[in-house]
Amino acid sequence: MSFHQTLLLGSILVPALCSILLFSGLGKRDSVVKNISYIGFLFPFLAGIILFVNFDSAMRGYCFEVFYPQMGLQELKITFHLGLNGVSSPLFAMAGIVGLAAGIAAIHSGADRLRLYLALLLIMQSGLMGLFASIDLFFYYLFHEFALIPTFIMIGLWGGRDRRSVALEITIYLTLGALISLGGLVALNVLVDAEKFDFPSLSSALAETALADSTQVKIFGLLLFGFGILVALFPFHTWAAKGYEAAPTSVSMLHAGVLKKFGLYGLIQIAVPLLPEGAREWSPYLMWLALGNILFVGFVTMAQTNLKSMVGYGSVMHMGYCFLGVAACTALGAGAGVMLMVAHGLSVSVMFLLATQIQKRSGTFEMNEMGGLGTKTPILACFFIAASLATIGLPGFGNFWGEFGVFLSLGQEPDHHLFLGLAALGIIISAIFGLRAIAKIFYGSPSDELLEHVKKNPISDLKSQEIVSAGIILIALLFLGFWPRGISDRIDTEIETRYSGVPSLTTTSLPPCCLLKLNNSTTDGNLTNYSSDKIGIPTQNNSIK
Amino acid sequence: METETIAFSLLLLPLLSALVTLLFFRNSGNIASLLSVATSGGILVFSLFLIFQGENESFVWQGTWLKLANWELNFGFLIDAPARLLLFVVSFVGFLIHIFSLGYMSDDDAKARYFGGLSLFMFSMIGITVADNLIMIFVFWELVGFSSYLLISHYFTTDEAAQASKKAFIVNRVGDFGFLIGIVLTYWIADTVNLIELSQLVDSYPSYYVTTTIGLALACGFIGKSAQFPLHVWLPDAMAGPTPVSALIHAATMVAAGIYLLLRIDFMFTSQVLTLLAVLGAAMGLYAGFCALVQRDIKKILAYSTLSQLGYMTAAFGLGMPGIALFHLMTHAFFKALMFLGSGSVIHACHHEQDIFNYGGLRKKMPITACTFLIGVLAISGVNFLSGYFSKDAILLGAYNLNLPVFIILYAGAILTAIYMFRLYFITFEGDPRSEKSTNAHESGPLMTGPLILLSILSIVGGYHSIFPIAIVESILPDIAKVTEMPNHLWMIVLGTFAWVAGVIIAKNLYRRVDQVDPLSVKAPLFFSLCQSKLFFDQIYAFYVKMIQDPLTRFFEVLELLFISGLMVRGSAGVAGLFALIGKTFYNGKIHSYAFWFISGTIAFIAYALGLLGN
Amino acid sequence: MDAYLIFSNENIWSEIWPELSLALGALFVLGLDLFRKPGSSTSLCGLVAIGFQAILLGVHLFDYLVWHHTFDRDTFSGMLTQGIQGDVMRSFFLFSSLLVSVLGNQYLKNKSLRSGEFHHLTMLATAGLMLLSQSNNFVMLFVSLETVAICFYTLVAYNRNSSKSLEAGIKYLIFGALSSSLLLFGIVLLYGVGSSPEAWGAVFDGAEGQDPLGFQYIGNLIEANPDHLLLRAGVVLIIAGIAFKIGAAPFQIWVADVYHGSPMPITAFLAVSSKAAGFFVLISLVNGPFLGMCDFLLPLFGFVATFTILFGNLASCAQQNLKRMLGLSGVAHAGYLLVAVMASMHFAGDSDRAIWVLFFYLFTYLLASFCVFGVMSLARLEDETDHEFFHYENLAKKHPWMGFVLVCGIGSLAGIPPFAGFIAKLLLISVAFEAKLYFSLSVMIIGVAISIYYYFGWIREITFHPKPSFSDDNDQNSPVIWEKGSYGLFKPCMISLAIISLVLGIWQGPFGDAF
Repeated sequence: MSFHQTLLLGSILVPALCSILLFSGLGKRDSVVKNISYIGFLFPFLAGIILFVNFDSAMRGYCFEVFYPQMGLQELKITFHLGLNGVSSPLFAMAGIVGLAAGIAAIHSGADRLRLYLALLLIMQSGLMGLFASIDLFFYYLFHEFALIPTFIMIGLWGGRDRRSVALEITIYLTLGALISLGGLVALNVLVDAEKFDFPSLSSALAETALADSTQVKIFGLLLFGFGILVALFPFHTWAAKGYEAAPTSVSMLHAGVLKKFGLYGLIQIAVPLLPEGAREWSPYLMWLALGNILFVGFVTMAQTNLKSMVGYGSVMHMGYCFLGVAACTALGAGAGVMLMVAHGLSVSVMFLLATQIQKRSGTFEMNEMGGLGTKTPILACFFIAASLATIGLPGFGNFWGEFGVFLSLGQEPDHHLFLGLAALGIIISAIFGLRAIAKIFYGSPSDELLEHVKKNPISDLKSQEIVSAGIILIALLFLGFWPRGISDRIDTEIETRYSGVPSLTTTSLPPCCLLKLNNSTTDGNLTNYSSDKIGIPTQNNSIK
Repeated sequence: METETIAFSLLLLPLLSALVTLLFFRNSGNIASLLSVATSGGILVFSLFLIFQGENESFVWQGTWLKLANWELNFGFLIDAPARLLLFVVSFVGFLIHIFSLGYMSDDDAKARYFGGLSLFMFSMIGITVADNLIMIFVFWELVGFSSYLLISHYFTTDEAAQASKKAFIVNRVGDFGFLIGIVLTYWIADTVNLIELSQLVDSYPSYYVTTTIGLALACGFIGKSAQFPLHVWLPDAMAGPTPVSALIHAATMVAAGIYLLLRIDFMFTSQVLTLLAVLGAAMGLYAGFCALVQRDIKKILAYSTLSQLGYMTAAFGLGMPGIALFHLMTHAFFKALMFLGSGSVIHACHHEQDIFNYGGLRKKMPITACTFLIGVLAISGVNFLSGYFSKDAILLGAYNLNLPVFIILYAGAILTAIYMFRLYFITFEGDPRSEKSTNAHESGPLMTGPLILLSILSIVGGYHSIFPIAIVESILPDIAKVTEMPNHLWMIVLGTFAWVAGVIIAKNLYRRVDQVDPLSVKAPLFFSLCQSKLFFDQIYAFYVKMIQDPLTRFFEVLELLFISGLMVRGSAGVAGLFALIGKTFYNGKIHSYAFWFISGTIAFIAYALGLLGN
Repeated sequence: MDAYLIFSNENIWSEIWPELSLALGALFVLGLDLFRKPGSSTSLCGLVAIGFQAILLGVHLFDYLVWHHTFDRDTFSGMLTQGIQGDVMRSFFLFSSLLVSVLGNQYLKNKSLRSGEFHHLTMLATAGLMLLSQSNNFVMLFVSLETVAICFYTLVAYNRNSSKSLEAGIKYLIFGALSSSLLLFGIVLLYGVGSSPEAWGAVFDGAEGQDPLGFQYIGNLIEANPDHLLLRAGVVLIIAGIAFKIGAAPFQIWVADVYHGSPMPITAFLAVSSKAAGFFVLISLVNGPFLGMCDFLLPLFGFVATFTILFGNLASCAQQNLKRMLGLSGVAHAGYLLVAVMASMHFAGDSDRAIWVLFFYLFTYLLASFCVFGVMSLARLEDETDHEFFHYENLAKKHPWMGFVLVCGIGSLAGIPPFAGFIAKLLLISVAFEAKLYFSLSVMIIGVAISIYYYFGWIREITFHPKPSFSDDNDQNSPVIWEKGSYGLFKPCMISLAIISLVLGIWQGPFGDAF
């Protein structure tokens, strides 16, 4: 097994082993516990980064494959098959980064029964890495579900307000979603006569005998609503904000940042390419629901005064853009969706992280009871502003490219222009609540409640480990913002091949300018005339220089 | 050195400086300020290099920034004539303002943040200037908005700054919303957003590529950034930032970027859009003048004056004289920066007192500031043969010949300009000191007066385009030539002179001797309060936020709680719970009632077997 | 001599050696109990029973897994049939019985009850179950079923000190008798028609000399006369009798009360072995003698499954008593398993996969149930039938291993990855999907989602901080006292069960293949 394959496998096994070590109680002492968990979180982080860097972006298909055909249910053609492709490798790296940040936050959280907390978190981390590394659809699903019980327990033990009921509610909700999507996956497994239960086999099998359109529509519906519930698609989103508000920070970070990408990843990587007709059929409905995410949830977000629930609702709102990318059913939409997923995962998790840091200092999540924190905690303010602006979609942070790509993909099709116009309203909405939060927390003069609190608990700025955990995420976001090619090249090659089979909504493959031209039936110049002109334009303008 | 290396250095230098400041010099303001000033000096050098390299030909360079499916985005430079002009203005004025800031911000606690923000602003502004495609412009466009946000909120502990910065960003976002849609539509209609390719396409098929929708959408960006009607409300509030920032961002460069954008995509506008812009601009010129007339805050007066001048530029552009708009942009940058810095000097001397009615008699205390300020006032009022005269009279002449109604509005604005500018001058610098603070004021140091003097020289001679190297002013020459060939020159000189002379006389009569009360409010109270209301824009927006937006958000929240979370989620849980309770009631522990189940089950089974259940 | 040859050829006693040795072992345990010194607390009987069954299980597994002694054949004049499926079930019952003994050993020690009869009866019941799983004739089926049932009547009422246990015994006796009568009536109807088909209007030229109660004969009869009303009535009555065993609606009503009162190990025994036996009989009947009536039976099963799933899950939600809750959730599981039975009917003739899915499900159910009941039997309550949610508050902190085992067990019951129960559900879903049972499938998915409420509600009590009304670390105030001290073999046994159900959820290995 080569170095890279070891890393890939290790990123799943190491956290799991560390978790087992912690569970078994080998390290009772605090320092041992912390060191073990550091290893457990650092390994996936490093593996993610190294594999991301070493990923050959010109490569189509999967790299660093690890294949154990004996493992898994032979009956259902399931095999244990790991590997990264252009879509999963950025997400894999993102999971590593967010995991490390969440891990550091957890290690220094000072929670009681820290050993149990870290052990559970490590299980979750192991699942998250496995989820994006799995080629096999069953293991992809299984790794996602690793988080279910740990999340439940962690919310219940270290959560905030209403933790008992919320833990139960989101578990029921998520299980329902997971089961529905499992139904879709099983349908694929049963109906497609493939050698193995992974994407390449399925797609080659489908290339030979495609599923009937009506079947595709049904299966896609199952996957869409199953995954939709897991990704908090409107109107199945209520669990998300509630859950994130109640969950302890690290769990919110991992759940909102990484775990929630499961469903979108499934839609983009599996559902749409395999079931193009189904996707086409569902696309208009999905668009409306995604708009619901953006506008309805956006408005609800604006009404929040609790910082954590605002961040939670905000994260749900921005998922709407990812859904729009999926609904566009084009390579561009999907690719932009992936870019946004990566950036959204990073920005949301850093928002949760910082929200908790603010709460630690102000003693409350209620934004009306803060104010003027910026003077006492300039670094925190700086980080929070950066994170909020990233969420808002300011260029310079990764989110911008994703959102812009989604808008662009909506513009491609004249029928979608309505959605483009409505969805773009989201950039105003998110600016309003994002900036309002900054102003309420850091600007202005301190509220009476805060002054009262500060009297008893002196406020200090971010500590070094807090800076590190938020810093790595922000650096990653800035990297994506300034050098989008770092990720877009990887996505591009993969998504182009994957979506080559997806029929475009437009009836012909002519460039849109020609199409519009035909539709408008302008009189000046005919088509051929135009094309030759177009070719005549120097694209590399060195000649002018 | 390769040209692209210079361009990259020019672009990245301020970013680097901001980054270094952020990372290492957060707490050492002096080092940060020196670093930033050095950076702006470097920018000036680099941009002069760029301007004079390549014998006045456009410099074009591009590399792939992002490729995703059928979206290919280049990171590219397009340094043509207008870009060189703006580059000059940005780097030169920027440099002077950096130096001024050294003096102005010397006693500020958060110097590092301030200078870091300035560097960030320079980065984004240069980005807009050199960008070769719409998406890249949009990127820097937003970044400029962000750095403006940062700088406005410099004194963030005051609620005023907190609100103003938020407002500026959000209002800009509203404009960007349209801009964004415009870009997307452009991309799909033309398959490119590269400016050169676009212009070539438009040249071939103008009627196909140029549509009113796209033009309007693109103009939205300009309206937001240049604070034009109806998104102008953020600019006066933005004066909550430090004064040099107002000079640099909210007068000389950033707001002018909107005009620059129009210029870069002037081929995308249909004549309807252009006319609309011209009317909007002219209206803005007049409207802002009225608003400026009744302000008490020195910076707000200048802010409204900026709005008004931006209106002139817009009108010039709308009338089809983009060169003249650019010309006015340049001269305006000089004299408006001069006046803002002058006001900064005053404010600094008076310990952050900004109400002009608390000044008075400052001419004697701060002669250099007063003198340079007067030059600025003269220039903006269009006094003959000063810089403002050339650019503004060119606009007026053009308007006279091209569109008479627009001319009339603009001309009224011109008279108004002279009135409110001289009002400002008289109240601030003439008469007797009206407060403790102005009594004790004294002249600022050379770090502040130096830039004032330099800018005042430019305000005087900046209108003679021939004194500038051809590389800089190349872009404005054709339109100047066009205007020169227009008739009615003499008539316009008379009218122009009349305008500023009338202004001076009215202002002198009204404002020569004032007390704490604005004389206008006594003489024409109705007119005064109408002006002061600013046509209720702020109230309308506040009404919208308070009575429409906030209730709407709450309504949606209730909807969410009631219907989705309540009825849908809890409701289904409730139904399940109801059935659970029903199920529980079957368990009464009595054998005969259990036996009933068995019997009924058996009967049902047998009934099924015998086909009694309808199978 | 000839008679002897025929006797030895027809009756190959070696084929039922596990049952024979189990019965002998049971007798031995009973005998051993006679020599127990009065008042001594050592549970020699229990240890002997455990050891004996463990060895038996090991040898039996070797017998058919390693030595491959299994092949399909009828013995005892067609009364019994041997085959791989029967052998799997035999080891299943043995394993279950072994675990019941392990649980019982611990339980009886805590309760200071006599242990001899308990283990004796358990082993006898298991021998009966093992014979049941090989029966090939309705007489054999009925007799072995009754053997089992009689053992259970006693076992359910084993805790004579508890009125609840006695009440449960009575209830089980009454309803067991009721169901047996239904079953018997059904058999009689089949026999009546089968013995003289023409007299009842059935068309059948049955082979002369065949036993009219043999599965083969009845199967042919039904295949020839799928629309015969009397046959239909007989079949549904037999199914009703079995539905009682598996706790399927509308014969599920006894479950909660009987589970509630029985001693803990017997609850587990009922939940696992008795139910498994019912399902095995059901699935071999519908794929054997009743195959000809599949089209007629499918809608009936569909209705029963739907009702069972919904009733089981919804009624469990409202329960505070854990034993009742588990009983009702067992009803829900019966509903899921009925879906597997339906699937097997769909693949009529090629049902091995569905049967294997059923087995896998039962096996994971066994693991999970014993995890749960094992830990539950450690609680020392005033009245052990009153297990309530709040008794488990903070268990995970007080006894981490118990918490772990319980969470694994509950997770597996709930069908949550990465536990074995999930794999079972996955297989079930896939097989149901193949059989196009979309409606039942969606009912099942809804049912599983509902079940999260009570299963995780329980996990919530185990793992979360207790509500403030109960002190966190003061055991004195706690309403429940957990057995302290060494658990002997019990603890490793439970933990390995939990780990097996965890590992099976990720790596299925040989279990991943059908027969």
